[in-house]
Amino acid sequence: MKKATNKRWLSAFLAVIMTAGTLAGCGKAPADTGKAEGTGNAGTTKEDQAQVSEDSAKENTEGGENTGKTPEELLLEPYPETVDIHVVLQYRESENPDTPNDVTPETSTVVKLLQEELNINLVYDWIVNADQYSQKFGAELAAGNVPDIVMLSPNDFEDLVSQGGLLDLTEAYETYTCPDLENIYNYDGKFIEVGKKDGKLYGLPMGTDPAQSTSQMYYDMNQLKEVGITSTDQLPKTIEEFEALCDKLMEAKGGPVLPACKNYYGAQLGDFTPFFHAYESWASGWYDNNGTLEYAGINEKNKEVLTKLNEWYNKGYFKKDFAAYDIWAADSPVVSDIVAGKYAIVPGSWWVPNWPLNSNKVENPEANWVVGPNLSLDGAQPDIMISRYPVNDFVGVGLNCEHPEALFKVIYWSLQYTLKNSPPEVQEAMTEEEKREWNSYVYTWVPWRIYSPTCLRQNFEVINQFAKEGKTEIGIDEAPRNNEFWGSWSSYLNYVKNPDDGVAWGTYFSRLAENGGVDNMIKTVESADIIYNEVYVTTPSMISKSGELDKLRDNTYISIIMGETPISGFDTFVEQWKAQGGDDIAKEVNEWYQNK
Amino acid sequence: MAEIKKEKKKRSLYKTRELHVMLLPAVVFTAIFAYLPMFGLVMAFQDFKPLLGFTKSKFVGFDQFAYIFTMPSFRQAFVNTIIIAFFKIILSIFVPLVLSLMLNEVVKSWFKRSVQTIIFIPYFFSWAILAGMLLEIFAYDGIINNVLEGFFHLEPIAFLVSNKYFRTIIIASDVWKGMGYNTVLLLAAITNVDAALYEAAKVDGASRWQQVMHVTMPGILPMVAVLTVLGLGGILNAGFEQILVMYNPTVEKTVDILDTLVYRLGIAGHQYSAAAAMGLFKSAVSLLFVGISYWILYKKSDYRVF
Repeated sequence: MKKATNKRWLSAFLAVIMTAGTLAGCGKAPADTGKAEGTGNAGTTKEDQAQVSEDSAKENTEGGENTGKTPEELLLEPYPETVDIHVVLQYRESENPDTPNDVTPETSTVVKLLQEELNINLVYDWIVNADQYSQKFGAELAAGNVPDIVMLSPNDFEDLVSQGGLLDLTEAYETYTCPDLENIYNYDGKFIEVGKKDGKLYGLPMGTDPAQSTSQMYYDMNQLKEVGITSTDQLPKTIEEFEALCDKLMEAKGGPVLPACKNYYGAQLGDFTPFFHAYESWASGWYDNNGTLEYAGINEKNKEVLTKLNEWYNKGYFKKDFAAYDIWAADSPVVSDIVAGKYAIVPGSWWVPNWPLNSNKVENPEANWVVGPNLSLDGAQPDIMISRYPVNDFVGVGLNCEHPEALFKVIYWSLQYTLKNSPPEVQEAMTEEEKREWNSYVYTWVPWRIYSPTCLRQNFEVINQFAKEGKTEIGIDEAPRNNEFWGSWSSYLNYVKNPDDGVAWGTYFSRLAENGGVDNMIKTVESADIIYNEVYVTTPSMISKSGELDKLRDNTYISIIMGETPISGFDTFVEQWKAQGGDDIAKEVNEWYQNK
Repeated sequence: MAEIKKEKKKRSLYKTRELHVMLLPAVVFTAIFAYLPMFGLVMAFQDFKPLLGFTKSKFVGFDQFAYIFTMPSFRQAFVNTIIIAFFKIILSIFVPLVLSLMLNEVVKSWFKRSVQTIIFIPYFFSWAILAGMLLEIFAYDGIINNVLEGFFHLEPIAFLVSNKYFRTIIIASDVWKGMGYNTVLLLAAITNVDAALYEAAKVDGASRWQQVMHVTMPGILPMVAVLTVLGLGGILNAGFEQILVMYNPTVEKTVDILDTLVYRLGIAGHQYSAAAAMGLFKSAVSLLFVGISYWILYKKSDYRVF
């Protein structure tokens, strides 16, 4: 009998062990949720944290007062003890072709030097390909995981702030900000307001020059010779003239004659944006109509441009299955066609000469790309719509981070590192090892940016001025303190030395050339009547409904262009758009607009 | 009397106690991973914010359901799901049935076996791989269009963005991928048919065709019935993985299904509550279908799952 009891106990014991094993496997998940809930909902905890950051900020301010330290000095001060900063990353290959192949985000220079110089240990919690980022972030957020320093789309930013997921940065901002940093997130003294909610700062806005949303027409004069165009004066100004040119090209070379992709609007390359603009139509944006904000995507006027695009589709200007291709996908066939010289006309943004037209020029040195006039119906510059404050992303600090000021430190460090190492003289004097370290610094592998929205215009003006004066060498003090200056300056020097090199041409023609990308962008915004997209906030209905609404709009537009839906389908779309939450969003943005 | 029965039951439980203890981990496992997450369904009735958690998120009753039922994309996805799943269920029985009957008539065993292997191969590939191949084949300048153009002098067709053809491609490629598996199942059923029946039929002067119709078919009918009715339970599972990797926005009108919509809404769009509501709705409808199909099975062929 005793034996039997022992056996029973043994089997029970084994069962318990096995059960415990199963439980341990998932033990982490409930614990994490508990933590997230605890910090997220308990007002006291949040306040405690705000208090902590306030205290530390005060200490620093006091320290600053006592020792007379400027924000710049405080920013470069290392932490006495190593601080872990958890980040996540949407991975893209480095744009710098000199980046060593064995460098990964974790082994990049920025990780190494932040540890050495600031005692900050950058930890990548996860890294995924850029096209999976939104899904991965959504899944992690559902589990309550918010990184310490995080770059967020405007939608996610608003969503996280509303849940108390981001720390208040107001104190840290006041202590640590300085002119170099203001250039990045507060270039006009007002931009920073975009990141505030109820007077408290929750994120640093990372923006671009509003003019960058303009789009231009690039023509290869070499290919156009075939259809009798020999000077830039003959390039089309109106939609009618443009259509005549396309017809000639269709006859001479066969279709398709225009690159097109499913990102039909705002893709900045190979999209229909310039045609929408020619009709003074916009697929998105909220403009002021006598004090009321209206959504441009449901405007009756869009029917005209859609009808025209449908005509062009039927004529075979675009690939019949263009809507299956994403221009931003890796190895996009649309891009490889452009590089292969299939198209004599490429619509796109100011940077297009820098990629992919430069690759085309490398393969066909006789290619002669120019910027043509902006298209319109009557030949005059059409009205353009640009964003009041174009915010691409916000950089915020997650609620579990104990060092909100680290955000300012890492941005400042990145900028200083770039400014220090990019002048041509410094580059030339680098040893092999230093060069390797510099090339292993991939700034897109960190979740913050050091891009100053005014740098394109500033560098265009300054460098052309230097060029006029015939300078080939400039001192550090003469240079503007934006992260792109030295790159632009080098590309100018490089172009002067090798004017026939495709790559040198690309950087020069996009940024610096007269009638090049940036020049035309500036001329466009200076000559056109501007309609502002007034909305730079995200309202609650936008968070929940704009995704499906955008999809509805995109599917309708593409379907009309491809002739699957008659143009009358536009009216049905407008009704659906309103009923599915468009009206709610309109109400919210107008309320915000009136009380702004 | 009752006392004795109880005693007996107790005794048999006691006798098999070790077996029950061994079962315990599986029970715990199921409870944790299948039953516990069901409490998460509460988010379908909330405006769920992950950082606020279940306890602090606002309770909104049936608002999320009202919202999804007014979504045109929901109605569209629901109809697409039913259509795609229906054809997949029917064809993935019918095609293997024809195939297995034909293979059964093949005398040369090497031929039979190699065909069997070849049609089984696609079953082992993941959709991620097959989708890459299929998209290449059906592209505007892909093989199919080259053949249409070269041999039949037809205009190339933009299959991948065509709402006319894409659903057919989805259904056909799924049937093609899975047909090897069901063919093998049915072939096994055919081998089980009593050989004496064929001999008797031959003696009665039945031709090969008559043997197939009157001996083989009735012999495997129960198997066909089971496969069909079991498939009915999955009527709202129209093949998430396949469609996710193959579709594009242009053909959403005809191939967007409930699962892809839930994925887009919940994971990509961070609208956890609306997605949960949609998932719950799908589960409820599926439960109904599973119930009906099992009941039919029980009534017609006395096959019981539970």
